[in-house]
Amino acid sequence: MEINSNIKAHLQFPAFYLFFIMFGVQTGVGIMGAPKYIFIEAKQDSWVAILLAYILLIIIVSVMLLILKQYEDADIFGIQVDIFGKWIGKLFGTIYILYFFVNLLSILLNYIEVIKVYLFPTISSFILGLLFIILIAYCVLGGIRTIVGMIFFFVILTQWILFLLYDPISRMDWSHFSPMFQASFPEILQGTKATTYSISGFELLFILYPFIQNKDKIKLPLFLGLGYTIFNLLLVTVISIGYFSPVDLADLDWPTLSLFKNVSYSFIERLDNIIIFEWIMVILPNLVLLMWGMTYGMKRIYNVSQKSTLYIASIMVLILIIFIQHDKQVTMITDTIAQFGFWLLFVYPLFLLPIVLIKKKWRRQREDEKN
Amino acid sequence: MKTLHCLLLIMICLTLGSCVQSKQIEKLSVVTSRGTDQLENSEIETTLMIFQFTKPEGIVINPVFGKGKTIKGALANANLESRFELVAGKIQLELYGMELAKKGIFPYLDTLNRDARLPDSMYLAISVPTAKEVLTTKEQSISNNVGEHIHGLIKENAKDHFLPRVTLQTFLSKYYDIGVDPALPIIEIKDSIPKIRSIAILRDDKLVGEIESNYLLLFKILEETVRNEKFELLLPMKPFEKYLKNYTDTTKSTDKLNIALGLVKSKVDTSLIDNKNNVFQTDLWLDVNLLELSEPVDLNNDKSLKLLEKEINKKIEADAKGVLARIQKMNGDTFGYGKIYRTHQKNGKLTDELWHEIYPTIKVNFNVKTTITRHGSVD
Repeated sequence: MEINSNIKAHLQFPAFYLFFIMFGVQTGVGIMGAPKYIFIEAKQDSWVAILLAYILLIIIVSVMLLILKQYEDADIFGIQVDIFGKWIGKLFGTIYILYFFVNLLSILLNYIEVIKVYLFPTISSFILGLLFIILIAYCVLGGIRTIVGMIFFFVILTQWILFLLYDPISRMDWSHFSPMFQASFPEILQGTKATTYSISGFELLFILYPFIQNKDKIKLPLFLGLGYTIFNLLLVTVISIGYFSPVDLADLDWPTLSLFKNVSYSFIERLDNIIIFEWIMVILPNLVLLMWGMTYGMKRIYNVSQKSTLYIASIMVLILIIFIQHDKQVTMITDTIAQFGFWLLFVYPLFLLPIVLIKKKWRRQREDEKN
Repeated sequence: MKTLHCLLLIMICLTLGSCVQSKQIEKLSVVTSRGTDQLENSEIETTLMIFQFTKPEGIVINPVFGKGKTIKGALANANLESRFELVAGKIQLELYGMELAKKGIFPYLDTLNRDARLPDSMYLAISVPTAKEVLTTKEQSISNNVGEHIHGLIKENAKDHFLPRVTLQTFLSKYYDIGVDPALPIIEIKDSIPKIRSIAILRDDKLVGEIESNYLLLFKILEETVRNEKFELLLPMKPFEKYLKNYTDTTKSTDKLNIALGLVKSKVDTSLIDNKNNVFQTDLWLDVNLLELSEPVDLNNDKSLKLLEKEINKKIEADAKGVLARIQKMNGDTFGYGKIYRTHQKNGKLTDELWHEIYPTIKVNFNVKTTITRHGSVD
């Protein structure tokens, strides 16, 4: 396979959209439960843990950019083959694809769980999964530019949810935050680690990079997008800590959704039910881009056509959804993928960077010797 | 080919529409309020006020009763009595009988918290003597059902007037928080109309005492910033006698001065000033308008206005002290001094048992600063 992906110009999109892609693909089911998991680790100093996560995120994404810049127009699949050789490189690429697959599965399972708990306890998972898969397949068949357009609109169309947070904000109890700075540094780091599932998604930059038209202007939209994700996470976590009492927050499964349970208007009594369906718009960018990443990766590594990967993956997801019914299993899959994601997304690029730099230096030396 | 794809998708979607369990509104009974009472044999009885949309003339309101060991069990039992399925998604009011409240209401809140389909915005209240009696009052002057009436009563009182907020979420938050206990309104039937009788002081989830409803505003200003309220105070007449306008007949003056005040804004701030002896200081700033004076006191005089402010401060301080002493005896920390105590501990750790040992012994210095900004169009 070729190292550089040589994307045709008509498939590329401007760097400006990275803001929406990053926010759209990072924010999803993770943020629904994140306040709980961060709070369990870092208690009232959770906000410090989230700010720390942003710093970490900036470092990791800078490292990723540095790796990508060593090549002309390559994505992670090409880079790994170039560095580790054909076999190991392809194996690592397959790990990425598997990660996308399980991540997609975990998002779907979690969301179906929410629908069952909040709205329809008796609905069949298979049918909900089928509806989602049809929607995902339809979007992915449109190609990357359709996906980017969809993400752009869905991100904008879901922003109104933020305004509804005024109600829990007005009921916050600030004494839940004091005394401040009680968590020890390891606890804060644990809290930071708990954010990984809810801020994962930025790894798609490794794949999307060749599709960007103006790569010199990539930094501003990229880091703003990451910042906006963190801002949202920080907002719901701080509100959750103030709004719920500590014992309650550690017990709640989806604190972010519970924040809306008190919002009520005379023309609509239970706004939280609408929020849950609105959340489809929040998770769809995740699902579609992960599915697209899988199909594109298979095409790059094994030269399988994108359509056949799409159909096979869809059927596999559906079959797994039938078998995974118990909420303990869903939690287990989510925890496992979060753990694995931490190593793949946050640690692996740090190891990759020195190897890429050394290889480049070595190659340049060899070229100099030839001349 | 494309049309075929589209058609296939549309067909699938249409057939799938029938998969979700359908709920026709004509075949449902919408529960709007629920009363829970303790029976003698450790069972509970629920009284459900329901809406039905069956008849052409509109809504029909009926009470339905059910018995069981759990709330959900009692609901299922009540379903046997009703022709239609009972749905609790629009429940607005939960009433608990006095007997139940004395034993603790938390066991019956679990399902409300666990069932995500129930709203958090429902109000909680305690009723005297039983929830059943309050909810089944037949009264012509109440236009809609009694549950709606009580819900409106609490809502108006919570929003614009006196009551501290008492939704399910605030109750649970205070219940779980260490160092603050919830308070609930107590509803009674007076002249066959439901009315707020008093404030129930709870320790955790158990009723430990009541405070009369004329202290409602005090409870609210000690908890949060309050705007735009009216209240009246009874002050002693003696200090004001020399400021009486000279045309009054001093010989037949009374010994009490009634004043009515409009509260523009209140602000409250509590801090722990002595960590060892557990002395707290609560500062209360009141910005008020004078609305009514029962005796013609000359207010053109700076001194008399200052004196009036001072007397108001004294009266509110005394009231607050009196109420606090009473709820300290009941050992229910409605004002949340434990929260402030907790933030001054190492690691912010405090157990409920420890705080309820300390709480009856704490001392609070109330420091009220009233400013009369306007006294109307006359002096």
